[in-house]
Amino acid sequence: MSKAVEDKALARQIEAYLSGQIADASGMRVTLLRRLHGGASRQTYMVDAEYTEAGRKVTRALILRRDPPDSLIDTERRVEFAAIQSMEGAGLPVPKALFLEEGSEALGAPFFVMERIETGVPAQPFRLEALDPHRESLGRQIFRHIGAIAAVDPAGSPLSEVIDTPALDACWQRELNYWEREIDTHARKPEPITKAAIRHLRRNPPPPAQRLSIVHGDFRVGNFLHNEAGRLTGILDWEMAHIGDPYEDFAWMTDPLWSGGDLARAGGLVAWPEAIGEWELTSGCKFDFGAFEWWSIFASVKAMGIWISSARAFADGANDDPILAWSGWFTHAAHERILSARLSSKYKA
Amino acid sequence: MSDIAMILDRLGKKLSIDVSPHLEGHYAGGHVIMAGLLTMMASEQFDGLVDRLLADIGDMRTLLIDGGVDVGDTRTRSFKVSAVQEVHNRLSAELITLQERIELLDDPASRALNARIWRYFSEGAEARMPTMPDFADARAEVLAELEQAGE
Repeated sequence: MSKAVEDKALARQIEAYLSGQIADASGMRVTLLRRLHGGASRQTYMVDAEYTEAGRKVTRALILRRDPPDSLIDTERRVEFAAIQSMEGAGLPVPKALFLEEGSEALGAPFFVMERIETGVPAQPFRLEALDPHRESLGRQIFRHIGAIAAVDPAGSPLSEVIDTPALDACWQRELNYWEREIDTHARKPEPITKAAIRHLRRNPPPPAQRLSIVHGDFRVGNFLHNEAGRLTGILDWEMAHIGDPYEDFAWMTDPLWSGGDLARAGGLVAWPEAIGEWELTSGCKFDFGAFEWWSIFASVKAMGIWISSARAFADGANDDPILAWSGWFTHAAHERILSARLSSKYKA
Repeated sequence: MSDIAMILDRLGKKLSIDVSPHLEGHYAGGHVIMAGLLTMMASEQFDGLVDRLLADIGDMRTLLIDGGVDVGDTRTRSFKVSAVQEVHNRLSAELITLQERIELLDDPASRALNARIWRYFSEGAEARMPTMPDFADARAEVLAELEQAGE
């Protein structure tokens, strides 16, 4: 049986912090504090806070995301916070962002707090069959939501205030440059397959983005909740959000790694024409196979950037979360196989 | 007892199925299951690692020589993984340079060599791929194996 409060000292710190944030609250108590496995880019805790406000007892179900010493993805928490804020009013199942703290005084590291979505369980990325018989229905919702995220105007959004907005024809270069730098900086050995894939992408650029969009950056099976009855209830993990080309999320979601080997269906979930139809309907974009193909190969390169950075963080001892070792080994090997299989067919003599 | 692959395999199963259910909390249990799966992957890969690296070195050496590269001495100081990996890394870096060069040449010989490099990438990646751990059924699968072993 798990303890309700796993770390009493941290619970006291959270109580003090929340008391300062919620003006009329008194008798603040953390009654649940449980660290969740995963979330290697942030330490993630379930928190229940009880307090009295205007004579009324209130219980708030919260999620605390605190920076670790090193993470799977090197991002600033204000980007994730602003991305979640940018989704308010978009009709998407996204938790409400509450408090952002960029200093280390309150909890020893920067963090933010958001409301907890209490309906739903996370889908497991490598067991798509567990989603049956709702796999197709969830697939349709996923591609509808990916399109809806792309339809949110980034201009004037909270996200646009904390990160730069590229030109339409510079989205691909910015992303490719960023991930190539990550790979070159963190690689522990030469990466001939990934470097060859990067050169291929540079020699065959995509068309300019049809529009600028907010990109979730990591929308895949594993980063959403569902109610086990066919309804997607939460879109999580916005730490890789940025402004860019709407194809990026579609391509990431349909990367073969997340598709359980079922490439006949988009993301291993739903027939491709249906996925494309849902995405076009909500995004307002037109699907172009050439552009998608570039972003699809890029998705695998970006994944390599994440896995290589993970391996570096684990090997250097900056973060000893075993998920980083697994990412640096298994998923790295998987994406080398994916990239070499895809590209070797293009370079047959 | 020096059967390292067997020891790692047993340790991984011990962590994933025996230890993890006794730990408090999602965080601790999740980490131990993952550590157990990694240990089982290490067990699987341990025996063939040097063999695969040496096969890669042989393949890369051929490609580099056919591309006109002076590969120097490709013998390893020993059969320690670190010594073999060192030669593997040097040839991999040289292969990147060679491929960058021939990609700029639009002649049949260069295209043919590039195709052979991609085939080497593809076959090598296939050989390196660990068996997919079954996360959800890790405990059940391992239990079944142990039951079978005990029969």
